[in-house]
Amino acid sequence: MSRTQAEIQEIEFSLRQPKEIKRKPAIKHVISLMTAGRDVSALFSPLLSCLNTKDIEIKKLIYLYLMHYAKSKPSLVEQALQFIVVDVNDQNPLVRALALRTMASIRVEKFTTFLIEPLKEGLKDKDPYVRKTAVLAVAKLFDINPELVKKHGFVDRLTKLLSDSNSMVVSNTVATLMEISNASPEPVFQVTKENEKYITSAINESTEWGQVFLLESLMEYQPPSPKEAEKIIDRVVPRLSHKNSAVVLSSVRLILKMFTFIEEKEIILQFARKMAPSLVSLMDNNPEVQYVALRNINLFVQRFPKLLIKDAKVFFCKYKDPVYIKMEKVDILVMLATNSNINELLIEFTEYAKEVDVDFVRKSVNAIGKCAIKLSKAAQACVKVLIELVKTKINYIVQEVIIVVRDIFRRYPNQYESIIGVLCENLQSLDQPEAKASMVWIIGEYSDRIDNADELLKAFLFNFHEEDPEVQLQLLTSSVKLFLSKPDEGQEILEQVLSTATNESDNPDLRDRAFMYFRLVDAGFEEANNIILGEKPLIDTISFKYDSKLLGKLLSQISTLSSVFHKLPETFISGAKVFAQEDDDNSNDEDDGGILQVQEKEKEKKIEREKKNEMETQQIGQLINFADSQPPPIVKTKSIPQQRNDSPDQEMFEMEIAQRNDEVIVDKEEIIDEERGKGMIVSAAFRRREQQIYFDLTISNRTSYPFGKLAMVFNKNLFGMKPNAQVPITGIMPGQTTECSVVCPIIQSHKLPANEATLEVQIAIKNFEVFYTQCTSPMNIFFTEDGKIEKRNFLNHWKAISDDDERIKEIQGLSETNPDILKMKLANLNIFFIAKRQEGSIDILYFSLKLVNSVIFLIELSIDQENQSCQLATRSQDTSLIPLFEEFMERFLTD
Amino acid sequence: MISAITFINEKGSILISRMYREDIPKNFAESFRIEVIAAKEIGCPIKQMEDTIFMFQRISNIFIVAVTKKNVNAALVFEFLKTLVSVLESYFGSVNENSIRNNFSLIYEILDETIDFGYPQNSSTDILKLYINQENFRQDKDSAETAKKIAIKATGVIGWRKDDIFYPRNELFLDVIESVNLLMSNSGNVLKSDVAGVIVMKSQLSGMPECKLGLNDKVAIEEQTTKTSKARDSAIALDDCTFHQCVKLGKFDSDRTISFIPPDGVFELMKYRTTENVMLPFKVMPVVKEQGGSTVEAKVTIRAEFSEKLFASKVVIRIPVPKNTADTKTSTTIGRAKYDPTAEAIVWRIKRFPGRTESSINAEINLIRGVDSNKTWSRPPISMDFQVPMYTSSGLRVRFLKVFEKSNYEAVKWVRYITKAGSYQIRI
Repeated sequence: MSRTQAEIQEIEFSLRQPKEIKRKPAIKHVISLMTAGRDVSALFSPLLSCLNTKDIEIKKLIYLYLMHYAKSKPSLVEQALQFIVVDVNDQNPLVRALALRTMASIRVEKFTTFLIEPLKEGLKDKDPYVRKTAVLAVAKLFDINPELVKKHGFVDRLTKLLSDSNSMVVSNTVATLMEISNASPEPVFQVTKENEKYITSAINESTEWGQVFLLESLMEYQPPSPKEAEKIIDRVVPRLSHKNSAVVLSSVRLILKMFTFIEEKEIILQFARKMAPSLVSLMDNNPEVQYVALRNINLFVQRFPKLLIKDAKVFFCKYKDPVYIKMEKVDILVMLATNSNINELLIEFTEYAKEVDVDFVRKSVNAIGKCAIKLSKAAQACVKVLIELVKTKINYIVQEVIIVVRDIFRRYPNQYESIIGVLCENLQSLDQPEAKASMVWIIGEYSDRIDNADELLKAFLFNFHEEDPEVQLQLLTSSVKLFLSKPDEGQEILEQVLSTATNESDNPDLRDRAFMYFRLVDAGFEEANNIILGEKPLIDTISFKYDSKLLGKLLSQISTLSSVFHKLPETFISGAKVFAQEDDDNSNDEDDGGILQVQEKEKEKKIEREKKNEMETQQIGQLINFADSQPPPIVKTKSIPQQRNDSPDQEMFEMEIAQRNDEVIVDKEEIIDEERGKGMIVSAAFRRREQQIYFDLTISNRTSYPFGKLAMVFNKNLFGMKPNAQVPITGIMPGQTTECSVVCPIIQSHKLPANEATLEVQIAIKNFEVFYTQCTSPMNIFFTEDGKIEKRNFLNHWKAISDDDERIKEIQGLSETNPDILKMKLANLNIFFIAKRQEGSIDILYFSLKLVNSVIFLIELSIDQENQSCQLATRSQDTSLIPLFEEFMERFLTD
Repeated sequence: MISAITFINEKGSILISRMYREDIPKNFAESFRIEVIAAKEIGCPIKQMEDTIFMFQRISNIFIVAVTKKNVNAALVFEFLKTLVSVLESYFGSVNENSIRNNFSLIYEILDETIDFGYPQNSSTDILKLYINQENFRQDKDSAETAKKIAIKATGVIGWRKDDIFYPRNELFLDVIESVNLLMSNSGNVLKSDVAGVIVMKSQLSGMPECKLGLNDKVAIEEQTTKTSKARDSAIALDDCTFHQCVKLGKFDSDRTISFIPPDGVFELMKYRTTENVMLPFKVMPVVKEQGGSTVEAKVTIRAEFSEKLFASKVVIRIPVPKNTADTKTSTTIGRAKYDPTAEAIVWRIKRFPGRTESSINAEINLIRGVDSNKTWSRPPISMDFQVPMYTSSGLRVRFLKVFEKSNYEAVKWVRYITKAGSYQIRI
């Protein structure tokens, strides 16, 4: 007999002792073994016999055991249930509550029906302790079986309990209703004017936790008038003095929410002033709470930038603060910097720069730079401090200074050049690409004023091939700048760089850019000068702010994880529901929640779309900027709204847009079969939807063991798609099949050289071992949504491309010849109809499309109805991709 | 809400784990071990791994971890962990791996009672102790009648007080404890100074007493305009106060009265903060010079700024020295100084420091010339510890403390003041 068996037998013997006092230590022993992960399920029946006791402690321990083994041993539960059912009617309210709590925690579905009747009784129990326990038991029941909750009308029963005389019952009820509502397809609980009264009056008498639940539920309340909103705030303001930070932050959150219903700025400001000291007080807490507070204060300061300025000192770092606190404090200090407190702040930042933690030091140096850019009057003082810091000669400080100085030059051109000399003395110590690139940029930009610019650049050229691409590109540009400002000194360097870049580099970006410069310089000194050394747009005051819509949403999440991460819940919580959120232009209309929610979702999509557009425009901005290859300026470009053209064609087009569905369904292709994948089957397809490219995967597990985390990488491909996340599924159980999608943004550096045009994407998927495979990307996923060219511009574009760059292809056996249907089908692929004309029996249609790399294709499609054939003429600046396109169109039109 | 609370030791093994919801993977402790414990450097107390989020507090050699998958109220979770620690401390003293192992069934019981389905419930120690205790005098407490009373209290309006308390002698002790925080530059400029005060009360009162506390708070005094100008002059401005849950917040907001029914025994009645007119008990004047990488000379002079009738006790001044210190020579005018290699500092202790006096220390620090000796020394600040009884840095005074009870007894009231060093730092 093994030791374990002996031990178990020994325990069993003790459990069967007649005296309870002797049994108790044995029961504890069982639980401790269970916690340690040992299997003690064999002891069930002797334990069960101990359940007939008055001792609550024993009961609790045995119930704990029961909950632990319930899932794996349902038969045991059945035996125990008879004891528990007796307890539900016990005289002792603590026992009644315990029994309810335990029953609801046994998550075995077939026993849930036993729970219904006791639960109904429990909600009506004369003892509040039982009622508050029963309320949460409803939440548990909902988690196991939402249907039963619906069927037995528990939601109505709960709603009645909102007027319960006991505040703890009310707060648990509110918590349960909120949870059920959030998990239901439609909200089942709404805070009406009537239950708002019950909720606010319960706040005063609740425990600290109860107050938080009650305050959170009021977030859903839509006050009918601004006066009503003010009333709520008045009720909540005293909570700001509560010791518990969760109560304080939840109050702040509710007050901010109520602000959206008030228009008078004065009233808002008056209440906001009351919140400021409470937020500052949160700094007297343990680091964990401080961290939550700091992340939230960051949001608050963005909304009310002036209110905390006088308290800036509170955010000075203490020597012993954990680094994660210090980092947050520095961010806030930069936000609170003004011309009057900047001197104090600079002393602080300089002090921080002497500390040992490298990240923190760099952050502090960076903060000084940010202040210089933010406050033009203080820039001089900031630069002086930076110069002092360079003199420390500490490697990472010097590098960070160089990085921020570049931004300072971009903000105040030709002003603080005295620092250049100091920086030039410290070139040897540079090892970070970003710092190197910044330094090279500075040398190039000020090459006319740096006497030995050529020597300095030469020093960097020595190791040209080993440098980071970022540095190489910068060296290229700076050499050109040097050449233009000092042709004699720069010529040799430029020649060397251009020849190295064009002949020896395998980086297409570098090569292309070198060729471009080569031609530019070749075209004439004047032109090159104008383009390369021309005026540059100043960088804006670096904004530390989120856009107001996102900020509004984050503020309505104050105190939650979302506000700590500065991310909306749906971006990090699986299955989070997007709820009607506040908005700046929140109207007070009383639509029912459902409609509001839909509108809201649509609004959000729109915002996303706008953001995307903005990003794209920025990318284009960056591309254009390559001409001068300076650090990409922070340009704020607004997306240009599509101009409305009143021609009938345009309207037609609008209609088509309305009709078309966003997604073009492409069947998945099996890219790894069972044999090759050793039991893993993967089918996949690239699809375009919501303006993004998705890689949709279906993964099946035919092995006998569960899969762990899957990893996936793409080889370089035509346009540079790269999955932006890992496969978001783990733990696929044997026999299971799971689907998932990964967004694949376009990453320039991930592009194939242009001469290897193929739509195949090579993919490696790692499970237990790595599987290599490939998947064809249908070309239409690279057609962007903004590819429509205006009719009147189309002709200009068409003419701008020489006839030599036109490719013509005949396609036979069309499956569809009706121009209107074709128009619609092509619009689904983001190939946009421009105009139509007729020549005898031939319909000639014009289309345009834009690729993700901004290359535009202009298409003339001449359809011969009689012969079911057509002629496809395509013009583009980049003809290399036309063959692929023709192939794609042929397949599409004949399919 | 919270899906599980787990106690994990430094090796990453689970001491206690209570699952409230089943939405988290069973092996979550494993990923916590890999991502947090193995990372060694304990950074941010919130970590997300896949879609599971860990929020933890480290205490002695264990981690108390709350696990969730929802967008929970982060402040609430950390406040709860804090409360949980203080509940456990009140049951069995310090919380560490051993005490957790020795009390596991008690802890399970507490975890069961203080959270239900992830929602924190009543966590007041006084009430919990009524029905969760390890002694075996439980039998009589388990009778239905007493249980009913307990159940009422556990959900009651005044959840923090039993109603049948009796003391032959009714006494009320009030301690005003101030921590003064200072950050001073090496040139003697005050960069930041503030006072974090806490008023701790020990109540030994019978029945259901209603108490009222009056402070020399500027706002409160200005509201009662009849007061003389003298009272107004000595009034101080409190930047912000926070209160124990027993204080009626609505009343404080409307007329600045602090009125409450106190819990029995010791509790923290209120916390406050002031930044205006902070009186610093000590001035520190440091001169620290590095002499060419082989020696550092330090001369630090300290002056007590409080009245000569008072004195400070347990004064400790820590003067940081570089890592590569070989030995030190010190001479002091008062107290004793010693080099403490683990603290990397010269620790100067003075048992009793009379008011309005000055004393100083001279130290010569010899350094070992080594490989890393040319690394710059980060020059951490000098820090100080002290206690000054019967002194408040903020100038706060208790104006009155009244007790009303229906039996109309006369309560004896005691008020003490003390100022301690919070983070009292002088840069060098």
